[in-house]
Amino acid sequence: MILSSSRLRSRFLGVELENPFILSAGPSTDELDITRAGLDAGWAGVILKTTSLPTTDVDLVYPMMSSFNNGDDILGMGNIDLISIYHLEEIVKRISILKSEYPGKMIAASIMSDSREGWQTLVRALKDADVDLIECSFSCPQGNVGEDPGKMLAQSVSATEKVAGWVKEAAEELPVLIKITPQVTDIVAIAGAILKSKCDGITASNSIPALMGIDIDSLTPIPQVDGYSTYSGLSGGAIKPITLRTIAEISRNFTDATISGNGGISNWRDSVEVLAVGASNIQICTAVMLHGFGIIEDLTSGLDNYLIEKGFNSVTELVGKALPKLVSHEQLPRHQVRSAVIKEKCIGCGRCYISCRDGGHIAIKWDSVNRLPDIDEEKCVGCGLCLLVQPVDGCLSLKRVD
Amino acid sequence: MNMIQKNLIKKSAKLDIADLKWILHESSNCLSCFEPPCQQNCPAEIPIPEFIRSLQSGNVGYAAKIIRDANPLAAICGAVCPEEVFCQSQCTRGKMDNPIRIRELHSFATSQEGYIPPVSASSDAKVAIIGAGPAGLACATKLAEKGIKSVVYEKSKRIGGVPSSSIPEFRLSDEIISLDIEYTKRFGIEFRLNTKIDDPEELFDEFDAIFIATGLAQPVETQIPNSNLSQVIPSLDFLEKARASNINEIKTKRVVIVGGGNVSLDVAASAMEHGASEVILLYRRGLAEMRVWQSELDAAFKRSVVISYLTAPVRYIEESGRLTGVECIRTRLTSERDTSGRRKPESIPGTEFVIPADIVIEAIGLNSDYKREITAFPDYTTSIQGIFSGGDWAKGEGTIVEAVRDGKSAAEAICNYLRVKKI
Repeated sequence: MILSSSRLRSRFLGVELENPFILSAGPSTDELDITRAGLDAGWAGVILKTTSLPTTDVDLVYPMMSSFNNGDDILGMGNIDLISIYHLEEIVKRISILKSEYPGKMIAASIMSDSREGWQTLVRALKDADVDLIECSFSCPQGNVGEDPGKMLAQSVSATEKVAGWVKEAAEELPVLIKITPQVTDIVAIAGAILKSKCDGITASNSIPALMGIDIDSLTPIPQVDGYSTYSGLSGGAIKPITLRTIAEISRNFTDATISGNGGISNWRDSVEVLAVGASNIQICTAVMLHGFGIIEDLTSGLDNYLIEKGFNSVTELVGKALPKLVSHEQLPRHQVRSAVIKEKCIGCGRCYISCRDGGHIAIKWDSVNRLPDIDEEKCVGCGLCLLVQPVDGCLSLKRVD
Repeated sequence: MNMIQKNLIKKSAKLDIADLKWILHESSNCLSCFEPPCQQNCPAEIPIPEFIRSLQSGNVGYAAKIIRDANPLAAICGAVCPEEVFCQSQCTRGKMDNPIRIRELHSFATSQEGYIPPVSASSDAKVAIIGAGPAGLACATKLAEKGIKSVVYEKSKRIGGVPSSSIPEFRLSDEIISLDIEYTKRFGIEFRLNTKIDDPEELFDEFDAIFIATGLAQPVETQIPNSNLSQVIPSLDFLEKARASNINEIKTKRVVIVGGGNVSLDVAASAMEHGASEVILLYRRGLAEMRVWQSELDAAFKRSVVISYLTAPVRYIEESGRLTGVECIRTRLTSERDTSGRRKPESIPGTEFVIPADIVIEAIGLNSDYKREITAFPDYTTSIQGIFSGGDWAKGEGTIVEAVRDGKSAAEAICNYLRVKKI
C-alpha cells in the first residue's frame, strides 16, 4: 500500500494532492458515504457529481448503463445518466462535512447551469462553503441545459468564453476548471477561449456521445428503455487515445495551460501516458465503477515504482515529457524502413503474409515447405502492418535502410 | 447470455454459459494460419481456421456446414478422432503456448448443426459400395453430392461399421452415431443390410462401378500355446458383444489382455466397464514404445486397468479344459530396432511367472478376411477395372477419419472413371 509518497505529492491550482488520483464527478461521488469510502481508500480528492440549482429538473431514466465488449472484456462503457439529483443546498452541506472530516484531501464540486445568474449563484454558494475547487461541466454528452440547447456548451467557442468568464467573475480567487468535450472541430479554439476567460484550468475530457450498439435480435439500440434508446456517453479504455490526443493538442498549443486528465484512464500505465502529454493529475470514474476504489493501491504504487525506476523525483517532472517528440505529420522525419523476419522467433503462422498480401504491398513471400515468410525488399515500404499481426513478440522488426 | 452466445445455440443442448464462454475464448486464440497446418494434417481436410472463425462470430450454422461438407462423419469424428495425431498436433499456437482444442470446437459446432436439405441423385450411373462403414458412407455421400446414386451392401444388420460395432459405447454413443447415419440417409442412399457379397464382380450386372470398403475382420493369430481355449477371445468378438451389451460372462472375472495398441486399451477399459474384477494388459515393451493415443490411455487408467510393461505371454495355462492363468516372461529392450523404429524386446530367461486369469482377450491386430486376390492401389483403383477400394481393407488398420478421406477420394476417382467411360 503506497497511496502517497514524496514523489506522488503535488500542488494543483494551490490545492495539495497526496497523490495525483482524483475521483471524477460521477456516480462514485454522488452519495456521501460512497464518497467517504473513496477518500478512506486513499484517493487524493473528489469532485462531487455535478450539481445544479433546485429549478433544474433532473429526470433520470433506468437502466442507464451499458457496455461494448470483446469477449468478457469491457472495452467501453456507456451511460445515459444525467447530473446529480442533489441540488446546491445538499452539496454545500456535504462540502462542509467533507472539508472538516478530510482536511488533507481535495474537496471539489462540479456545477452546471443555464444562465449567468444560475452559474454565479452556484459558484458563490460553494465558495462560501470553502470548496477547494470548482469544475464546470460544459460537456455532458446527454445534452446541455444551457445557452444553446442540443449542443454542448464546450462545442461553441464564444459560449465557452462567455460562460467561463461569468464563472470566473463570481469565483474570483477560487480555482475553476472547465470540463470540455473532445467532440469539437477545433479543440485549440475551445482551450483558447477558456484561457482567455481567466479560468484556471481545463479538465480534458468528458465522455463522448456514442451509440453503444444495436441488439440485432430486436433491432433496438442499446441500452434499452422500454423498447427505446438514446445516445450514451462513452467512457472507459476505448476513449483513452482520444483523451491523449485532446490533452496533447492543448498542451502543444498552450504551454501554460493547466490540465486535469480524464477519460479512459484505467491503470497506472494509462496515467503515465496522460501525464506525459501534459496533464497535471488524473481523474478516474469508469475504472472505479467497474473495479472499485481498491484500484488506488495499484495506481499509486505502480506510478511510484515507475517514477523511481525512471529517475523522476516527482510526478510534476513527468508532466509533458512526451510532448517534445510529438510533431505534425509534415514534420516527421522521412526515412526508408523495411520489415525483417526474425527467423529464430517465427512460429510459421503466416499471418504477416496474409496481411501484407491483402492489406499491404504483397511484399512478403511465403516458403510453404519450411513455413517461413521472407520480406521482398523491393516491394516492402515498411508500413508496419505485419508487426501488428505478429503473434509472438519480436518475430518481425522494422529496420532503417537508408 | 450475450448476443454471440445466443447465436451459438441453434439447437437445444445442455450448454451453460461457461461452455459458451470457453468456446468463444478458445476460438479467439486461433491464429488463422496461412496454409493452416491443422487442416493439412486433417485427413478429411476440414477447413479448420474457417470454421473456428465462424464459431467466434456466432455463425455456428456455417461452422457446422463446412465441417460436414468436408467430413460426412462429422459427429463421430468430433467424438473420437485422435486430435493428438492429426489437427491439434500441428497447431501453430502450440509453439506459443497451448494448441487450440480443435476437436472439441468441431464437436460443439457439429452439435449445433441445423437442418440439412435432402439431395437426390440425377445421374444414370449406379455404384455399389461394399461395407457400410466410414469409408463406404463417405463415398456414398460424396457420390450423391455429385448426383450419382449408390447402393450400400452391408453383411451385418447395422450401418456404421467399426464406430457402431466395436468402439466402446463410453467413447462413442449411439446418439452421436445416429446423427451421422441420419445425415447419410438424407442423400437417398439405398442400404441392403444383412447382405454379404461373395463375388464383387457379379455386381457389374447392376452397377457401373464398385467400391470395396469392408474393413478388417480377421484377428491376427498369436501362436501362443492353448489359444484354442474357449476362454481365449479375439478382441473384435469381445468389442462387438460389449457394444451390444451381451457380455455378462465377464462380470467379476480376472481378465488378461494381450496387446499394446489402441484396440487393446479399448478392450481393457471396456472389460472394466463391464464388471471385470481386474484387467491386466500385457505389453512386451515399455510405455514409451506404446503407439497409442493419450485419450485411450486416460480412459484405461481412469478405469483402473493395470498395464504390465516388459511382459510377454508364453502360454495359456489350462486345467480340465479351462483357462486358469497366463504364463508370462519378463522382457528387456535390446539396442536393435524393428521396422517400426522401436527397440526390439527380448525375453529374460528364468523370469517366468504366472498371472491367474479367467479370460484372455487377444488384441494384436486384424487382417482382412475378404477377397485378398484383388490388389488395392494407392490411387483407390484395384487390379480389376471398375472396382475401387479404400479404408482399412485397402490400407490396413487406420483411423475413422482416414477411412473418410479414402471414401471421399475414391468417390472422386469413381466420378472420373464414369466420366471417361461416359456413363
